[in-house]
Amino acid sequence: MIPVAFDYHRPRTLEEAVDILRQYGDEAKVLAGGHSLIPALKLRLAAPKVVVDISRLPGLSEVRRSGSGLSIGAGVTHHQLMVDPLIAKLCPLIARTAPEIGDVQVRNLGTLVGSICHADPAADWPAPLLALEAQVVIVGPEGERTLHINEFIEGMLTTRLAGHEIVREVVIPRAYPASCAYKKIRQSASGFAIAGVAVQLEKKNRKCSSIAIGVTGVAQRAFRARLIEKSLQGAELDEKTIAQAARQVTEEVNDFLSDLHASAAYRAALAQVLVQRAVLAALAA
Amino acid sequence: MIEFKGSHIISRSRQELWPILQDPAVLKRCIPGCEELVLNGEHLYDVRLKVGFGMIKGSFQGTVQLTNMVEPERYVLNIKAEGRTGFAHGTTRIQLLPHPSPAATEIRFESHLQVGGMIASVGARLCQGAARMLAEQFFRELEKCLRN
Amino acid sequence: MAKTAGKKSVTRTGKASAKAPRRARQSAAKAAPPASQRVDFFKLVPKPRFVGKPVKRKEDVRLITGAGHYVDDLRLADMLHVEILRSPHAHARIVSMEVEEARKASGVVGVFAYKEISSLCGDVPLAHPGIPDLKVPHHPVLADGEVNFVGEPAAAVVAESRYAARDAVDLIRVEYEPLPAVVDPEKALAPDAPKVHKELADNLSFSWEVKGGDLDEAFKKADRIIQQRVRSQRLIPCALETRGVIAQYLTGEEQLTVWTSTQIPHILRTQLSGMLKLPESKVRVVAPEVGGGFGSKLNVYAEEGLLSALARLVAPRPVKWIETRRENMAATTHGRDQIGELSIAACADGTVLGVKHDCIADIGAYHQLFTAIIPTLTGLMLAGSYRFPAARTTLKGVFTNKMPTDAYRGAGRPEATFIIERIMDLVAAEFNLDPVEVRRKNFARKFPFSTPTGLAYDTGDYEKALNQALKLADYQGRRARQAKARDEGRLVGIGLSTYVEICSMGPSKGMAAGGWESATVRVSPTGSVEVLTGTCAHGQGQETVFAQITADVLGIEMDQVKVQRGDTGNVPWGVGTFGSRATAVGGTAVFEAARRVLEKMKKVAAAALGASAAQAARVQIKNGKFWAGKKSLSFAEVAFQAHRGLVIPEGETPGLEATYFFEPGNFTFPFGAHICQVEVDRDTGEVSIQGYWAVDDCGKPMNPLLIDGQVHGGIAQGLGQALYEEAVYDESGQLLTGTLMDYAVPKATHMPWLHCERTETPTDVNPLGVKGVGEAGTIGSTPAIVNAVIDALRPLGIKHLDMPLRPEKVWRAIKKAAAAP
Ligand SMILES: Cc1cc2nc3c(=O)[nH]c(=O)nc-3n(C[C@H](O)[C@H](O)[C@H](O)COP(=O)(O)OP(=O)(O)OC[C@H]3O[C@@H](n4cnc5c(N)ncnc54)[C@H](O)[C@@H]3O)c2cc1C
Repeated sequence: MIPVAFDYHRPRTLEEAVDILRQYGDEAKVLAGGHSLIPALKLRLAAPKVVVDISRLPGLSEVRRSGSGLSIGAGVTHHQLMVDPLIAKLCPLIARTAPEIGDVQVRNLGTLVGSICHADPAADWPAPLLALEAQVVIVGPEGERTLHINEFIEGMLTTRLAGHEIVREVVIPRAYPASCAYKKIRQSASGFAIAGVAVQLEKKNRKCSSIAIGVTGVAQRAFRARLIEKSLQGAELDEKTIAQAARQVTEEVNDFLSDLHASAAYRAALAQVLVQRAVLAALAA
Repeated sequence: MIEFKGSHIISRSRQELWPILQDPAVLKRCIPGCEELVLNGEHLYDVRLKVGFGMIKGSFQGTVQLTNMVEPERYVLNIKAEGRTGFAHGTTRIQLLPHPSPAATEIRFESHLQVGGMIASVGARLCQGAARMLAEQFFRELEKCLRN
Repeated sequence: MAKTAGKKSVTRTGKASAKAPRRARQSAAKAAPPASQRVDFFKLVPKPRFVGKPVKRKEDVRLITGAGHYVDDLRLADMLHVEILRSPHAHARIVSMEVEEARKASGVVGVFAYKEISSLCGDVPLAHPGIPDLKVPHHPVLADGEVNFVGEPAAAVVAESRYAARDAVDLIRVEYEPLPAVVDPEKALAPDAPKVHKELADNLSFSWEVKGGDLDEAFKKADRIIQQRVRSQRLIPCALETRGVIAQYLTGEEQLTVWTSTQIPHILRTQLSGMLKLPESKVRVVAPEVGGGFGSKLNVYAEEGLLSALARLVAPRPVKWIETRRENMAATTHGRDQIGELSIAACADGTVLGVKHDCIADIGAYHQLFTAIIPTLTGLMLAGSYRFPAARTTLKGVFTNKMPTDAYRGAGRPEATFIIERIMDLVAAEFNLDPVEVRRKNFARKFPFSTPTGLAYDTGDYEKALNQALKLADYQGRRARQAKARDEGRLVGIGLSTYVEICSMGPSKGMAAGGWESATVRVSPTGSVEVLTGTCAHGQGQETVFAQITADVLGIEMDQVKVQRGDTGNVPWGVGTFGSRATAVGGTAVFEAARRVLEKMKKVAAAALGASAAQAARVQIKNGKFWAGKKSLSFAEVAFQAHRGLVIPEGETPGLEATYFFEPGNFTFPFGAHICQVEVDRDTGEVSIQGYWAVDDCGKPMNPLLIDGQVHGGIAQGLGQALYEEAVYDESGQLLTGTLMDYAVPKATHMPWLHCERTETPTDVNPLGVKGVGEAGTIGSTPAIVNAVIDALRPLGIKHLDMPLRPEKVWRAIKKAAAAP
């Protein structure tokens, strides 16, 4: 790897990290798992003067209870989320999404927080995080602020994060039941999602009392399939109802992505199929 | 080849908008990442850009030229930019159409961009989206300019 | 690679049509040495201790523990580093190049472009295929005023560190004037198409034809003529180790040494000597560990010439260049890229009477070593394992503004096999026959078998392999279950391919660069054994196989044998490793050299033991000892005596070493049957492989473990072509699949479980009876998988789809079929 030369910092505390970022601002880049940043450095598509490695900051590599929900620290890897008992108990959708990401090496190093900070439109995490109403906790020189995941991710590769800010954790505000699923179609080279759908639902007497559907990979940014949710809310979820509702996915987005891996029409079709499958799988779970 | 089109409604008449769209100061403000824009011939500008999406940033140098100008209806924006991470060449056809609401114009654009080098071979899947975002940014800035 | 035309080639006969087969057969028969003169391995060693056994690979301990040394692991004193500025354009004129800033940058030793290099290093060479009127453009190691593909080297920076070199590349300012690029090979043939090379009349580099049999008759007699267009898409070989070169020129000694990741050190040495105008005696080429090649290192690259020239400019400091993955994808040879228009004359009972194949090969912007030869192999192998009497291939090699194509695992035969195995299924579909029966109907059954394209297949029993595969896969039961699944609306498909391929390249008369192989077996005074081979393994495990052969012949342990390869400084001469030739040709050379050493050792032992003439004639090795009568000497004692020089037998000289150059009489023709079951997801177009069964016949198995390894890897790559891989250039010639995030090589998770078995049909071409297995998996698997997918889609009326069968393509086909009335 032959990136442009940079200075490497490994601060010992979050405060120290924020302080370094304050000094260098946009010239600095935070390094977590490095599985998005390092490829970009190697290709010289990113050339920060300073790299601030937060992967070993104390306390950040933990999943903790937070109120009735839980908090996922910035150092928590995809792999941890696959195996963490708290996640499995309080937020099974996260545990079901994690194994769908990349391969073993990627999961061993890459982080959930790194993924949402990178905001790749094909990343998996935004789908379940939208469905779970996740909150992103940001720290900066001016203190702390919290953004809903939907506000946090702006568009392709862009977030509301300022150059001198760090995401400390992602908070899932409450516990969710096991009726959830994540379904994706992988791009065969990278493993990223050509389309991915996360569904979290709650049932009462065979009826769907609440449903949240996050869709990723098919548009500039992940989104909640609100129209579909509305049709399914309170409905009895049989295959026909679900299939009918899923058709509305084309109305949820203006422009489906189109690239060398999949056309817009194909993505739209996949989104529809995956919504059906994910809802059915969530029902069965 | 990136091809995309779109349209945008701006609350100014075509006659008002026409000179604004040629104004170097406005162009400099609205072209995303534009660090320098210098007139260097008839409707020809030398530009220096710094374009970024998240961690991915690139510096480009090149020219923007306006041709086929039919006031106040349409013109063609010819863009040529080159940097270490690659290049982009292309044209954007811009049409100013009267809009039903008073003192408003619909700007329609249709871009054909040829992207080459590193950005094409490692970022092909993102180029379309990037171009779209740049166009959106342009119009957002234009609206801001007009508000002030 | 097989030479395809010209005076003494195999295919002249093919080209000359009707007489061809007989002549080819005669030459094959003549070339095989009479059995009486030949000592076969299994006669000499009736009960081998190592050959034929699943011996673990000798090379694995060091490779798995990271203790092997690849080019990038070599660090020479005072070494300089090279980074290359490459064209971002598919086609452009270089208007100007400003290098001053780069030259002045810290750590930079020099910046070099065409004008600084051209006097030191000539054009990138090609092995002349003997095709008349072949157009060969100027192909400098650094662009001469014009660039012709994305990734073409335009300038080189030499610096104290790789980082400094890379930084300086960014400081070079090139003004390019973009020129129109040609990307589509069919459009490139249009009269008004832009020209890739302005000095040439057009983009047609060559035309070639091979034909045999009476085509008119075949097409007249046919019940039906089936037309189909098939494509073998462009692939990127993606060896795990990218290329890399270190070159050093010692001014005093006048010695150039080039360490490079290559499959052909000796050929490279000869070619470099020509490029650099240095006598070969002053050029040494070393291939350290080579981490895969698949044909992509069977070449002479611009960078190898460039680094050699730079080494002279900065002598005596060594220069090093290590290819990045991105460079590897853009500027290491690509594979396949053929479009074929097929006409098939078939009878209603499934008999194929003849095939016409008009092929366009997109060769990219230049000729690399075997660029023109590879697609001719497709034409030669068009008969597959079948006996249809008439065949013709016309071939057009077309320049486009892309990376040149060249050998890639299978090299010409996967294309041929894909075509012919699709043909069998097309015929089966046309007449509603079982594809198995269509194959049986058409199999060649008498050997040696002469093809209408002029080849003589050595030995074979295609039906046996097929039957075994059918049994292994439970074909009958599977078809029954498929019918049931179809009734349920599921898209389940079963596909097969019964391939034959051409290996152990090859007889010199059929090869552009000599087809023999050399080996030296050398025993030291203490009895340690060195085998020097002219082959150059890059993952195949030849070190193990050659040690097995040598140990068995000499009656010693495998770990007493050290196999050396890859260094022209110690291996007398060689051709290299490609075309599944190393064991069949190189292994035979090892066997013959070892046998000669053995003969001499027996004589030395007899002399040292004072044996009678009768005893001397019957010296035996038992338990690692040479026995003459009741007396014995150990292996080491005999070796010592041979070197000590006191008891040299009559007619012999001191020392213990033999070199043998083996010239095979013919190619060998391994074959097999692969079966695959898939299910297609109707809603998403995704293909999942539900089972894979392969029966391969590579003649006598030397090491079943290594054969399995080769077959598994081969199937993985064939599966990659069938389902995932494609080098995509956009219409302006930009390579869009420039990294492994966009170019989909199959990963472990894409692989199904493979059930592999073998049949054994020895060849008579060499005394080992071995045929070759390096490419078989790639050749057999692609059509089996594609046939399975098409079979799955057959209820929808789908007859053919081009590779790769990515989900969207399959989904579109399903949708289109559903929309059709
Ligand atoms: C081969 C491969 C396959 C992959 N497959 C998938 C896949 O299938 N699905 C998927 O979703 N992803 C996939 N990824 C991406 C992977 O999940 C990455 O790990 C993830 O996108 C980024 O996380 P990271 O911890 O590696 O972040 P890094 O690469 O370290 O950082 C990414 C970006 O986020 C910023 N950043 C990181 N942490 C913080 C923080 N706490 N505060 C502020 N900024 C921060 C960095 O500055 C950088 O800009 C794949 C990656 C690879 C290499």
